[in-house]
Parts: sequence; C-alpha cells; structure tokens
Amino acid sequence: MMNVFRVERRDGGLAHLVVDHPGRKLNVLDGDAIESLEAALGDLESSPPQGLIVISGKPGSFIAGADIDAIAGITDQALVHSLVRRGQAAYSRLAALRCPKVAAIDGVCLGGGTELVLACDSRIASEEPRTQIGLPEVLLGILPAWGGTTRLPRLIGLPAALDLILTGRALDARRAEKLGLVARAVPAAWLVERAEQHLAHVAKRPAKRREDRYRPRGFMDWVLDATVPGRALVFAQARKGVLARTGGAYPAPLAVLHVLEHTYGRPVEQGLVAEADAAAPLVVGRVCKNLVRIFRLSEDAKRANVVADPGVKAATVSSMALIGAGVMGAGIAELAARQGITVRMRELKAEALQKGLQVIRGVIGERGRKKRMAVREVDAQMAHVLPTLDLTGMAHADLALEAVVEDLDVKRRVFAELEVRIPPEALLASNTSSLSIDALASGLLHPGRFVGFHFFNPVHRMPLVEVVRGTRTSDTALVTAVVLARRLGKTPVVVKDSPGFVVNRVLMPYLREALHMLEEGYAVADLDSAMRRFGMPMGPFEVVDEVGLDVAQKVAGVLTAAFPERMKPSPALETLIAAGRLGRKNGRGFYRHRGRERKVDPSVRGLLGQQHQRRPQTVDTLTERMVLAMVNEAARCVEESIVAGAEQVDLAMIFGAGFPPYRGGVLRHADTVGLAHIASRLTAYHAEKGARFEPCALLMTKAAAGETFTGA
Amino acid sequence: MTVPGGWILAGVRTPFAKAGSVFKRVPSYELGRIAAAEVIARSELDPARIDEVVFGHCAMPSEAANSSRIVALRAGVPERVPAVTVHRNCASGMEAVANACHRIGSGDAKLVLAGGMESMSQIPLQFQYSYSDFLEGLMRAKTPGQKLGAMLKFRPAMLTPRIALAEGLTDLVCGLNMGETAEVLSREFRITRERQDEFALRSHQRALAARERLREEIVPVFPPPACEPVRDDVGPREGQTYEALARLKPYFDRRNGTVTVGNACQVTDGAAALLVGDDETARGWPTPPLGRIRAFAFAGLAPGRMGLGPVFAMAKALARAQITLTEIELFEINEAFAAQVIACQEAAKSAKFCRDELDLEQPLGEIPDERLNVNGGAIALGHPVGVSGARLLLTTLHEMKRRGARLGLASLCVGGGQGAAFVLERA
Repeated sequence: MMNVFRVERRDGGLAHLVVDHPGRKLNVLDGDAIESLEAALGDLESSPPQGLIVISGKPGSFIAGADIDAIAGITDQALVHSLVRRGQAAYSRLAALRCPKVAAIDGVCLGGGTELVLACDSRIASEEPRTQIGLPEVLLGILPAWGGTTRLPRLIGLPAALDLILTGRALDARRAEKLGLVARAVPAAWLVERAEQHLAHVAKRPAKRREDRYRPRGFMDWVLDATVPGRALVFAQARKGVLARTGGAYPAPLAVLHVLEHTYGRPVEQGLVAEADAAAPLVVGRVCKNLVRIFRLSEDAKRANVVADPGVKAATVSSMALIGAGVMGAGIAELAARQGITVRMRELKAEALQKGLQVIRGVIGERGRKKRMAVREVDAQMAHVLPTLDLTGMAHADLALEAVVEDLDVKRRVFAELEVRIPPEALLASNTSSLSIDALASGLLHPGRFVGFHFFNPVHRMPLVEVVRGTRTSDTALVTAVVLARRLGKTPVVVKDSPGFVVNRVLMPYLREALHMLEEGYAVADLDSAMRRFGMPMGPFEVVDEVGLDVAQKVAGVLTAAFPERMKPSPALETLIAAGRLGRKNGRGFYRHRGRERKVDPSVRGLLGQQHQRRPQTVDTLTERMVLAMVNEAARCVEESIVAGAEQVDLAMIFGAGFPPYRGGVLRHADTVGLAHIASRLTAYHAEKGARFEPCALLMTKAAAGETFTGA
Repeated sequence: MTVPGGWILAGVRTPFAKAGSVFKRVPSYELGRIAAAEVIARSELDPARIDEVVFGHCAMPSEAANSSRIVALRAGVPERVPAVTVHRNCASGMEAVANACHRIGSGDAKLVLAGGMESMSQIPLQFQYSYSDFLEGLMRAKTPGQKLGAMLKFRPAMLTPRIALAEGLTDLVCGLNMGETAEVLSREFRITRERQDEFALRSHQRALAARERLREEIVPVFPPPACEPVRDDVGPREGQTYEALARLKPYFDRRNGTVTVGNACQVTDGAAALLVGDDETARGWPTPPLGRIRAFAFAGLAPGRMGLGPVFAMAKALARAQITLTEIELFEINEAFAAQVIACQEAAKSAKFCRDELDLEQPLGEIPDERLNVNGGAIALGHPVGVSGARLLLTTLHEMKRRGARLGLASLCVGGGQGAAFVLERA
C-alpha cells in the first residue's frame, strides 16, 4: 500500500498528518490515498495525539482533489455510492478524533482536499497567490460528496456556501479568511509555526465547541442562514440563478440545492447520506462523463506535446511586434502585456492607435475592477504597449503578429515590409480567420517560421486559439506558438491549414442552415430560441449580428469557394447586406440593436419577400437540421484530419463557438444521439434538400460498423 | 584638461502641452517613460547596454522618488542599471546630459540615457504647517476632552493652500519671482514692451511654421482615458496677432511693468530622452549620431538678474571649446521671457558689459535674430522646467542637420542665478 498519508509524531504530544503522494506530482485522493488515510487514522485512534496538524508534504501544493480519471471510468452506481460512503467515513473519523485538529494549507486545495480540511476544527492558509481553496465538483457535473456540501454552509453560512459550491470558484487565502473558510491567512514561510500557535489557541476551547462555526454578522445574515423562511429565500434565489444560467441542463447544481434543502440544520450524518444518494446517479450520468472528458481534453491541450519529437523546444517570447490595433489586435496586445511581453503596436493612423489603446484600457479596466487592481498595476501593464506609426522598435521582436484587414494583398504587403525589420528567427504569425496560411506564406523569405494564430472575439474571454500549421511551418514555430498560447492563458488546438480552419468551418453550415430555414419562412426569433434551448449561448442570427453580416459573408465566401457544392451562398444574407444592414455594428441586422439591447425586427420578413410565417411543429424540427449540419461538417473535419481527432473538434467547438459543454461537444453529441440515427436522418435530408446534406463518408462507415467518434 | 563631452546618438521628446490641458492627468514619470521607451525602440537598442539613466526633474512627485529610476524600470531598462535624478532648476535637462558627459569622460559609462521630465500641471497644492500641526494634535488626543481641545485649535486660515508652483518660481534668496527678474532686465537694458511683444509674436509664428519639421523629434502621446492622439506641441497659437499681445496687462508689475503672460514662456508639461555615448559607442551606432557635445559650461550670477545666465555660461563654454561666438551658425536661448532673451542679445554685443561682467577684452558678438530660436521657443512651445535643456539640444542638432551647419550653441537661463550653455558640433 502506498504511503500517501503518514503520521509524524512531534514533541509535546503533537502529530502531523502529512499527505504526500509518492506516485504523483500533486496530491490526488485516489484509492491508494483513501486506503492510506484509513491506516493513518487507525494509528491516530490507537495512539491519540494531544493535537493534530494536517499538512501537505509537497511544498507549494496541498491537495488537488479526487482522481478524475477514476470518476471518468466508473459506471456502476452502487460502486460510486460505496466509494463515496467510504471517503465520508474516513473524513468523519478524522472529525471524530478527540484532539484539536488544524489544517495548514499552502497551494492548491480543491474538492476532496477542501472537504478534508473541513473535517478539521480550524484551518489556516498561506497568502501566496498559488493558494486556491474551492469546491469545483459542480464544474465536473458532480457535487462535493465527501462532506463538503454538508459541512461548508455550517462554517461560512448558507448563502456564501451555495455561491462557492454552485460556481465552483476558488478563493485565495485572504478572501477565504474574510468568509471564515480559514481562520487566518499567514505568510507561507511561517505556515508550520503559525499552525502550531493556532492549534494551541484552538486547544483552549472547550471540547464541545472546538470547531470554527458560522458567525452571522448582522440580523439579515442570521435570518438567511438560520430561519426557515430565510433559507427558503436563499434556495429560491439560488435555484433561479442556476436555471437562468444553465436552463436546467446541468443536474449537479440542482442536486446540491436538493441535498441542502433537505438536510441543512439536521445532523451531519443525514447530510452525508443525502450527498451519497445524490452523487451516485450524477457520477455515472452522461453530463458528468462529458464534462470530465472536456476537462481532460482541455488539460491535455494545455500540456501535451504537439509535435512528434519531444526535443523540440519553444522559443521564449519577451517582446512582440503587432501590426494592426483593431479589436482583435488590441485584445491580443492586452493579453501579451498582461504576461509582461512588450508589444510594439503599429498602425497607419494615430486615430487607429487611439482606438486600439482604448480597447486595451477597457479590457484592463474591466479586469482591474473585478480584481481590484491598483492604479500602479494598470499603468505597469499599459507601459508594455508602445504604439507607433512606423516600423521601428521591432529589431529584437521574438514574435511578429499581424491582425490587419482580411485581404490577401494587404496582408502580403504587411509581411513584405515586416519581414526585413524583425530578426530571422522571430516567429511570424497571422490572426487571419479566412485566408490560407500557405497562400500567405508564399513569397515569404522564411516560410518555415510562419504560422496561423487565430484568436476569437472577444479575445480576453474566448479561451480557444486555433494554431494553424501550414505545409512549410517548422516544428519549432508550431511549438513556440502553442506554448505562447498557453502562456497567454488560452487553450490551443493545432489545425491543418484549410478553409475556415475548424471552428468557422463547422459553424458555417450551421449558420447557413439557419438561413435556409429563414428563407423557407421560419421566424428568426424561433430559430434563435430553439438553438439557445439546445444549449448554444446565442442563437445563429444573434451570432451573425454580433460578428457582423459582412464578416459572416466574407467567411462564407471563402468556404463557398472551397466547397461550392455543399456551401452555396445565401440570398437572404446578401439581400440584408445590400439593404445596409451589418448587424450590431450599425444597429440593424436580423435584429434591431440599441446599445446592449436586441429586439426582433419585423421588417426583415418584408425585405426577404415573405408573406407568411411558418410555425414549426416542435422545437426539435428547428434544431435537428441545424445541428445535423454541424455534425456532418465536424465529421468531415475528422475525415480530412483537419485536427488530430474528434477530441480536438469537440474541444474547439466548445471553447471557440460555445457549443454546450454538457453535451460534450458536437461529435460526442452525435455519438449520444446515435450515429445510425444521424446517418439515416442525413440520408433523408440529402434526398429532400440536396447536396449540402450529403453525408460524410466516414460518418456513414462508422454508423454502419457500429463505431463511434468519441468512444462513447 | 580634457573637456568632457559625448555624442548625442539619438533623441525623442513628447509634444509639449500647456499645463492644465491635454497632459493634465499624465504624471511626469509617464511622460518620461514614453520618451525613454521610444528613443530605445527607435534606436533598436537593447536597453541592457545602457550604463546609467539620468533625468532632470524639478518638481518630483512624492510617489515617484528618484523619478529617473521609475522611468528606467517602466521603460524596460534592466533592474541592474542604476539611475539618478538631477536638479539644476531650468537647466535640469542640460544638467542630465552634462552628468552623462562626466560619466563618459571618467570612464564610468559608455552609454547613458539622459533627458528631462516635468508635469507642471501636477505640481501640488500644499497644506500649511499650522494645519499639519493641528492634525497631529488631533491624532495624539486620546480622551474626549483632549479631542475637543484639539479641535478647538482649528482656524480657517490653516486651510489656505501653499501654491507650490508659485513658490517654485520664486527665488528664496533674492525674493523675486522669475517674471520680476525679467522686469529687472527690461529696465537695465531698456527693452520696450513693443519689442518684447514682437519677439513673442515671432516665436509663435516660427513654431507654427515649423510644425511639420518638429514632428521628426516628437513621439505622439495618447493621454488616457480617451487616448486621443497628441502629435504636436499644444502651445503655439494659430492666428496670434501683435494686437492681441499688446492688449495683455503686465503680470508681474501691474503698474509699471512690460512683461506679460504673452511675452513670457508658458507653464508646460513634457519630457525628452536622449542617448549619450562615448566615441566607441558612436562609431558602432547603426545610424549617424545627431551630433557631438564639444563643450559645455554652467555659470553663476546674481539671482536677481538670472535672465543673463546664458551670456555668462556662453562665455565659459566658448572658451572651453576654443571658438568665438561668430563661428556659431545656429543659436538657441531658452525663451523664459522675451525681455530676458533680448537682454542676452544686447549684453553679448555690448563691449562694456563683456568687459565689466565677463572680463573680456572684446564683446562676445552679435546673436542675430535670423539664427536664433529659428523654430520658435518657449514662449510658444512652453517651458517644462526639467525638460527644456534637453529639448534645446535635440532641436538644435536636428536643425543643424537640416541646414548643414557645423557649430551650434544652446543655452538657458536658470532661476536662482545661473546659466547653462552647450557647444554642439556636427561633422
């Protein structure tokens, strides 16, 4: 049995319960860990210490949580239930030890780790930014089932506990102290000494009242936590919030509410039983499996090697040249400046620089307000951006990125004058969304260092970056771009150079299908609300309005040129653009926009020459065609090896297009529906609607063979 | 004795803006950073090559002690490079460059980032000592009785602010403010109001005509939050007329004076940054250096006549450079006041003055209007006190390049009774 937990006896009857998983870099509560904890508890029960400190043996990290791979693999509800109860029992044994118990937290402390420290009498935490304490289970489709759901509200009050558990967010030591989750935030250097001091302090309390518990500050706090109507209000608000955010598609947050509604204020054991009963169906359920899969994929995307040769090293990027200070360029400049990268930002006109700087200040300001950044910090970040109207200040750039208008000739000219001003080893990249990387690379002096580096709008919020590999892109260039994307806090997906890369390629048939249905007479509002109910953050027409009808037209044009049979242009889009409608940017598109408001525009129907409105039989009538269009195109991306596999398509569509994570991705969704069903529907639509629904050959093969894309 | 000198390899300045206008909320060290970062970027310089950072700064804000260091770190100069801030009143910008030359001459440095920064908009209002005593008393009081006693000591006069800007522009020793010293010179040299106003008008006209040319030395600034670009000096007034200047009332001597706000320099915000190097660095520089500092000098005189400082300093500098005034092809005398510049011109060509005050057998010579402040001066452009010295060097060298001139002279009068002069040379 691996010695994950060990007991170290110290002077004065003190003991340290040290968690240090020998087989892992971070402490994870896998089967070995629980077994080892049980043994350690046996030791502590038979020779009880005068006081116990729970601490990590890995400097700089505490416990990262449970074994996610195990959660992914488990399919037996009864097994889940027994594993949950086993962990709960171990923690309850810890809580039942008669000596005072203090946990000393330094570094990441999530999920089961937080639940472990909740079983102690009190906690202290180090002030380092690496210390993050939270219960993120809900983000993986489950709930804190080792006592976290039950014990947290008793410590910090019902409203605060619900907020933490339902959002899954983590707190730093100071915020944790403010909420009462930890008693003290201390410098990491003095963690052990302060833990011992705090233990002595806790030991002075009478045995029955040794645990830290919730102290309501003020009458309202007390009402909301301690009274029936108060709690009812909290639960109602929380439920409303959950439904608004998730539309009821995610069972875990609702399970949390159910557990607490029935057991808050009752004995702890009742809460534990309710947790176990709620956890079992969640863990084996589809949503959890899908969310865990996406979590694993995104962790891989942040870490895995993207080229065969592991010896290829990324070049460090400490300064960059940026051509184009539009919304995208400025957004990228802000990300880079945030990491301390100097950005020489070039535009042709001073007014363009002004706009770019305003965008950057806007993003920093928003972040600054949320994180309460000092003016000093904001100024320090801005100081990394050096605006210029010429091409000076680029001779030491490690990276040169262009984010100018989507025009091949313009971009080529930009590269021609840029190439000679930057060092020959510098990475050269383009934020193009629609042009071919190979086409842009032709004519370059050093095409091997050229790569596509496609961000999504808004840059500071969309996590995906498509790193596009041209036929001549070197391994070093690719790795440098991928590592930089990770450093900027993004999730990179490597894509082969092909029209639309992956996200726009899969989105376009979906948006086009929406337009087809509009042309057939269905209503804009109905189509949008159907897709929102499916789980997309915005409906197709809302998306087109946001992006701009002209931009959508442009991207569509590129795809039409590449796939003329399948992706024909839309007369509806052309008509609206001709009528001067560009979307949000000029207030009129498929909707009327005023500021942040969006209202249905009845005149759209007239413009398109439609008399009647078609009402669909069911919501599914509307979503089926649009979703099939996405699935079919996603399958083609796998068939053509546009990305490494179905996993990357799913990851890209969730992180770049907002495809609902609980469905696991476009292809996981297809597998869930059943490829055989998908194949037959595609065949039917192909016959009825034409070439655009021609089923992807790979999909048909897999359907016939009973295989899946994602191993579901 | 070797005359310390150095090569000015490159330089950049921000636009100069009237205090209280577009740079009102831009701290001095932010202006300094912009100029410094830009000169480094334009020169494609690896900032690790810099040996020292020296900026002139008169009104250093309390939150930016040793503002040169703040500028250095924010402009990307590595932490290991030391920095120092210097103060010689109006000649602080030149003092910074002089400091660079001394370091280079002594072998302490091969490449120095030198310049000046000033935000006169942000010179604070200060509380009286009586008020801080009152607050201290209040803080010390513990019991309610003591607190009451402390509060009763309050007098409204305690809140009258000390206007640091006005105090800074007044010489403690002689008790005159800068404008009053200009009046002293207008009387001594009998410089009429009309002559001063004509001079002022010419400064504006020249500055406006030079707008395009001056962009060569300027880096645009985008003051937050609107970030609207400022590409030119804000001071020069379009459509300035002699009549408008003549209508202004004298400011420093209400009853009998001749100096007005129109024929005096403007209170201004700005910054400038130069790269000063030794011979070897200049030889290896990728672009031809702007020019060489052949000699420089600072001189002292009576604080009440500080406006004549340039003449005293010029005499010393020319002697060190072993040339005569007549060999100088281009002149800059900082336009603190029209009266003061004109007084310098008169003094330089006056045999009596040069004999009595400078111990010279011959007068220094004539400083002709056509070769003096040809692109306008501080009356139009403004005088951010810590910066002007650096600007004058930069602008003189640029204009010398345009004219193919070989020798130039830039000089300043200095509040407190000093003068500064630099002899500049281009191959």
